[in-house]
Amino acid sequence: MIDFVSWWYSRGWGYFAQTLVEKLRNIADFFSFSVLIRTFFAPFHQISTVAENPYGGPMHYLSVFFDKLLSRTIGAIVRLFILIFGFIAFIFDAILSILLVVIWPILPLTPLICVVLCIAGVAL
Amino acid sequence: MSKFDYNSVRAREARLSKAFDGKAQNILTDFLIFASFSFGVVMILTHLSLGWLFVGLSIAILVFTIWLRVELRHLPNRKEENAYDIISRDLLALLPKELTPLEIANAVIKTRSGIFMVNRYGLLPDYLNIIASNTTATIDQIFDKAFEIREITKSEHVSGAVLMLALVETYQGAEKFISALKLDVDDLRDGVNWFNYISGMIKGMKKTRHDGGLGRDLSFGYTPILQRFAENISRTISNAHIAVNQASSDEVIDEMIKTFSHGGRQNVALIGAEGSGRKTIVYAFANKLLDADSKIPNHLKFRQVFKLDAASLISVASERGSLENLMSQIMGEAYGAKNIILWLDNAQLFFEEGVGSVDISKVILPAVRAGRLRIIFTMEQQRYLEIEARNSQLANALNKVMVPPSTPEETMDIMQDRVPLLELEHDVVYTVWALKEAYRLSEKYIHDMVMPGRALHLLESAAGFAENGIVTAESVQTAIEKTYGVKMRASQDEKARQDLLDMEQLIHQRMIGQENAVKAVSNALRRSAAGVRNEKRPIGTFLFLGPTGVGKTELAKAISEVYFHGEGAIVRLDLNEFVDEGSVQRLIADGATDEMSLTSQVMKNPFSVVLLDEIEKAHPKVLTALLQLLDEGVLRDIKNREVSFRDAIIIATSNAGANHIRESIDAGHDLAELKSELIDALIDSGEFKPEFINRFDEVCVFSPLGKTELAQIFDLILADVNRTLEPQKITVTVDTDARDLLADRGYDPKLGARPMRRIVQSSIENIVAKEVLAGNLKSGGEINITTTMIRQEIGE
Repeated sequence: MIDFVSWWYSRGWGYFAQTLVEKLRNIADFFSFSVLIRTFFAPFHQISTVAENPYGGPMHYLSVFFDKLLSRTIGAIVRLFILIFGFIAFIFDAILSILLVVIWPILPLTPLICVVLCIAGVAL
Repeated sequence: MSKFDYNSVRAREARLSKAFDGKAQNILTDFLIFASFSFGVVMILTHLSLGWLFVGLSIAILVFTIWLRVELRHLPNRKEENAYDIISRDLLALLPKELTPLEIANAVIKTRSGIFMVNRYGLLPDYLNIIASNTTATIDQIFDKAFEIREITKSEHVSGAVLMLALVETYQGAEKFISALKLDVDDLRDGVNWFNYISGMIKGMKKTRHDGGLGRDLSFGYTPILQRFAENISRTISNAHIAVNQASSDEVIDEMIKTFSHGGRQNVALIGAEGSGRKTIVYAFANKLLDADSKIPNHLKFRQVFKLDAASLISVASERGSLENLMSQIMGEAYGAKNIILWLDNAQLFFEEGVGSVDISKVILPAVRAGRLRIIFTMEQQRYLEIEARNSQLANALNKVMVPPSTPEETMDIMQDRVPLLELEHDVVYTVWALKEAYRLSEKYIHDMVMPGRALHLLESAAGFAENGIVTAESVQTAIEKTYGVKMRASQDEKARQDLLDMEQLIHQRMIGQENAVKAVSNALRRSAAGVRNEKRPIGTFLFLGPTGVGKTELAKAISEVYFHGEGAIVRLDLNEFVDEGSVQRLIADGATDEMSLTSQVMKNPFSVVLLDEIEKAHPKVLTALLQLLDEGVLRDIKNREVSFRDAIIIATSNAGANHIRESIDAGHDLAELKSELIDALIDSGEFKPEFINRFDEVCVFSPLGKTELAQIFDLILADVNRTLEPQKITVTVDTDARDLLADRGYDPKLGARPMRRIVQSSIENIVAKEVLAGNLKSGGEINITTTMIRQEIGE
């Protein structure tokens, strides 16, 4: 029993917190946070309608610039949406994790509390 | 350190967790948690306070389950003050209160690591029961040894395998016991490391891999043409286990990363022989790029490797112009996508003209020089050298990285790494002897590849020859026989051993006389069979000197029959056909162009008698080529493949000095004295060089046959005639007078036994033929040949 209690309130708690952190890392990876932030303004799938020509004149460069700008804008919008969804999922999971970490030390005591509630005749 | 306490907290926890092991228990506890909680909540909602008890019960079970699954099932080590603090959970749960070596033996074979050692290293329960005593006297010693083995093998716990080894090593006759398994202590410790490695690998595979996620490829371009003509290996290997268990291969991968990280030519050409692991390196490299946690520069992360398929490219665009055009499009697309590394496997197909290849180096070279597009080339060493000679500009533009064959230790590690996957694919278990045999035999008999490829290839083939699901050394031997056509020698059973002991008698059943030569050869072969020989040389090398018809070739055939169980195991070359300088090329020709060349025949039949007839007539260059064969037991063929002659008996015959032998014997000289005299004479006359003669284990001088020996040879020839007539059930007998007459007529000291065979043919066989045709001799009949019949037949 002592062994269980000492594990629950030391290594067990730590392990649980670590698992939740790992889960948050997985969410961050799933929604590609670091990649999306790093490449936020990169052209979306490198799509372009104007082929680059090193010998093109100023007008050509201008059309390439606007073409790329459009591609970058589309990319930024798509990335922004993913980041928003990811952020919501991350925050939701983080709150849940914090709650669980807080609940963890109370969990072994819950059966006792339930017994007390039963004896006290508490019902909804 | 205290050794073992049955009532320690950790031991009790181990037993508790074992009681709740298994799927059924898992399902039951999960069900109880769910049912109890739901029931409790429903009761509470229906104003029944008793529901709290059920909710409390479900939470109590949940808490216990978490403890059980997280802590107890893994039971990490404690402070290592006591033995029971570092024993693995599965073993600790099995150890009884009263501990004896016998109880330990019974416990360790039930653990996962113990079963691993039983299956792969043959440490069977019966053996362990023999070496384990039933007294407690040696328990401390066993645990001390277990701690030592744990330290050496860097094992996390004292596992079943570790304690099993401790049990074996503390046994007084350990050395003998382990030797009987054809292993040594290091092999067994290596087994513990092998188990630890596989456990680590499984643990690693269970971890979630960070591979970039949803938005990883958003900034990279679409690649429709590439998708059609190339394979995205980054996708196929995603999450697969690709370990490159070689320090040298890790170096190559680091070199690739370094090249692609810095400026300059963005290409790597992996050059190595077939089987050296070039492709595995590219796969491991691609795998590393996809791992978000790997320590590589950010601009290389999540780059994808596309393997270009030369065959499908050429099938669509077989003309050079259209192929160049297609290749330009592919490279343009790969560059535009920004995340592609092109891999040209068998890159020589893109740089040479021929069947299935078109030279498009004019398109590739500018891209390689510009260094904008990352390209990996993999090429066979010889083909690279050919391209280098033909196109130095291209060769200079490539960043060459050599992929050397693996060392024996590395090969064993790689095989151990690959075995779990092979076992899963083929539903078999590999023993350690299978791995060792795969290394040994592939090194000797697989010539088209280098290590580790050839050992892995043979190991995989052996899965098809498993017995009762276990791949043993015999399975590997069968695999090499069946899949590579290499004929292995018959097993050394009792009869084969007795044959070796009676070799002289067995040889004399088919040849007469030449006792000295027969004895010399028999002794050499017995030494070889008993393992008292240099494994780096042929089984035996003999030079037979003597006049024609005295039994030189016959002795070679007799050896083949007795030692290799059949005359078919003879590779015979008449060296009078190898008299010009170009003959060396024919001697070592590739089997595809000349199946009768010496190297190709021995490649197919390594266990054979190689009979080199009339060696004195061969060109000196041919003799020089044979020097290495006689000395080291290997000869390189025209493709530079090493062909092993180490399981062959090499016999060279020569008539050189025949007159000298005859004259000396006639003059009454002793054969032993004559031998050195003859060798000196042959060296002095320049017929053989001293270094050539010196390479032979034995030089055997064959003496001319006398009349008495010839009469005995007649008996052998007659026995042959009767064997030929056996299907017709006809028996031929010869009178003593007739026998003497034939021995007299068949005797010619210059020609040996050959005239005897001719005279038997022209007399006895003719008489029998006529009698059969005349109807006088029918099936089941017998004919006795008399002097008169012979005189009549030969016209005297």
